[in-house]
Amino acid sequence: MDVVIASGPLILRGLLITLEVSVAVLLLGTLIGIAGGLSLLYGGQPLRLIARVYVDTLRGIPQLVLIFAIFYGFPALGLQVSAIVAGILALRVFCGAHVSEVIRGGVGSIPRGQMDAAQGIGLTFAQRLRYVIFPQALGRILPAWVNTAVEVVKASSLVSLVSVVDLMMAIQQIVGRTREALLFYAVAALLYFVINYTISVIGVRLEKRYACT
Amino acid sequence: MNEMPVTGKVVVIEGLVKRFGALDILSGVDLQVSKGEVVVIVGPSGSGKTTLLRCINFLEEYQDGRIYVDGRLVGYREGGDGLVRLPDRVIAGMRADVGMVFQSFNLFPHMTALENVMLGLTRVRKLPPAEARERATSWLERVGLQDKLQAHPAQLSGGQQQRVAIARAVAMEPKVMLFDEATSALDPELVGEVLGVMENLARSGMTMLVVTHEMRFAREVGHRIVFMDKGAIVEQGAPMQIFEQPQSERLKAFLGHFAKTS
Repeated sequence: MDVVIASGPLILRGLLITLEVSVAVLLLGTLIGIAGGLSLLYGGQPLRLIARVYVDTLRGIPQLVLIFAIFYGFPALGLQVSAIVAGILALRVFCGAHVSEVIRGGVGSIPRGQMDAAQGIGLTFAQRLRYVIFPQALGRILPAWVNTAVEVVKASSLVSLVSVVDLMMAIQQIVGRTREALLFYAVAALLYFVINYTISVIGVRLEKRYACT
Repeated sequence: MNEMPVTGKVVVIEGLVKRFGALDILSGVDLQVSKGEVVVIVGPSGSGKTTLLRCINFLEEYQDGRIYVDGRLVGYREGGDGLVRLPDRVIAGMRADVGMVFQSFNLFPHMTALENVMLGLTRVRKLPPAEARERATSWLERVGLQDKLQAHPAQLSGGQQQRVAIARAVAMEPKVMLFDEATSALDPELVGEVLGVMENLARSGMTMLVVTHEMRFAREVGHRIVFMDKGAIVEQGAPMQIFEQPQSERLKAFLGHFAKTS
C-alpha cells in the first residue's frame, strides 16, 4: 500500500493528462463529427464525397498509425508538433470520423416527414435541426456516442508510445522503478474502468432524459 | 421580374416542370387559384398531385416554369439565364406563408400539441410566448382539442393528430393552405372529423388546394375540381361539370373506377 501512496502524485499527474487528452479529443472530435455527419446527410455532392472519403478512410486506419504519422511525419513537412499535440490531433481525426457515422445514423433515422413539417412552418435549416431533428435524434445518438467516448479514453493510452506521460506511461515508469507490475497495472485498469464507467452512467442518464416519447 | 402582374390570385403556376432524372413528374402545369377559392385536385396515384403541392411549398425544387404565391416567385429569383435558387433563410420565410398538412400528420413527437402549434409562432413569427400560447390555444380550440393541449402526439388518435397538424399550419396565418391526402392515413371512422375541420376552414374564406380521394368532399366543398393524370392537368371545372359531364376519356375512366370501388 505504501508504494501506491508514494506513487500517488505521479499517477495523479498521469491521470490528469489522460483526462485532458480525452476531453480535448472528445470536444473537438464531436464537433468534427457533427459537421461530418451533417455533410454526409445534407451536403451537396462534393461535400458529401469529401466527408465519405474522410470517414471511410479514417475508420480503417489504426489509431497508432495516425499518431505516429503525425508525430514523425509532420516534422518532415516542416511542421513541428509536440508529442501530446500529435496525439490529440490524431485521436481527434479518428474520433471525428466515428462520430460522423454516429450522427449520420442517428439523424438519418428520423423520418423524412419531420423535416418536411419543420420546413412547412418556415423554420430555417439551423432551427429545424435545433428544435425538431436533434431533440429526437439525441436518444439514438447518445448510446453510440458513449461507445465512441469509451474508445477514445482507451485509445488515449496510445499517446504513451510517443512518450507522453499519461496514466499509462506513469504506471509504466512506476512499474520500472518498483517491479510491482501486477499491482500497478491493476491500479491502471481500475482507473480506466472508473473513467469509462462514469461516462457510461452519465450516458444512460442522459439517454433516459432524451428518450423518445 | 419576381413580381407577378396579375392581382387577386394567391397562387399562380405557369408551365411547371418537375423532373426526376429522365422522368417527367410534372410536364407543364398551369394553374391559378383566387383568394378564398377551394381547389380540389383529383387523379390516379402517380399523377403528380402530391408533387405539385410540394413544389408550391418548395419542398421540391422545380426545373422549369414559375410558381408565384401572393405575387412572389417561389424558391428562386430570375437570373441572367434562368432561375437562381434563393438562400435557405429567404425560402423559409416564403414557406411560412404557405400552410401544409401531410398525409402522415408529421407532428413533432417530442412536443405537446400546444408546443407543436407554438413552435412556428415563436420561432418564425417571433411572437412573444404569451401571445403565441394564446393564439395556439385558440386554434386548438377551434379544431375541438381544447382538452388535449398538453397531450403528446402518441397519446392522440390519428384524427386528433391531424387536427393538431391543421391547427399548427393555420395558426401561422398562411396565404394558402395545402392539404396532401390529409385523410388517407386515417381509419374510416376518423375521416369525418378531419374533413369537418377542413370544411369549416373553407367556409371561413381560407384559400385552399386540396389533394384528396374523398369525392363527396370534393363535390360539396370544392369550388373547382382539377383532374390530373401523368403529370398534367387533363380537365378542370366546377364540381357539377366534372362529376356530371366529364369530357375526357381519362376522367370518365377515373370516375368510373371510383364509382366501382366506393
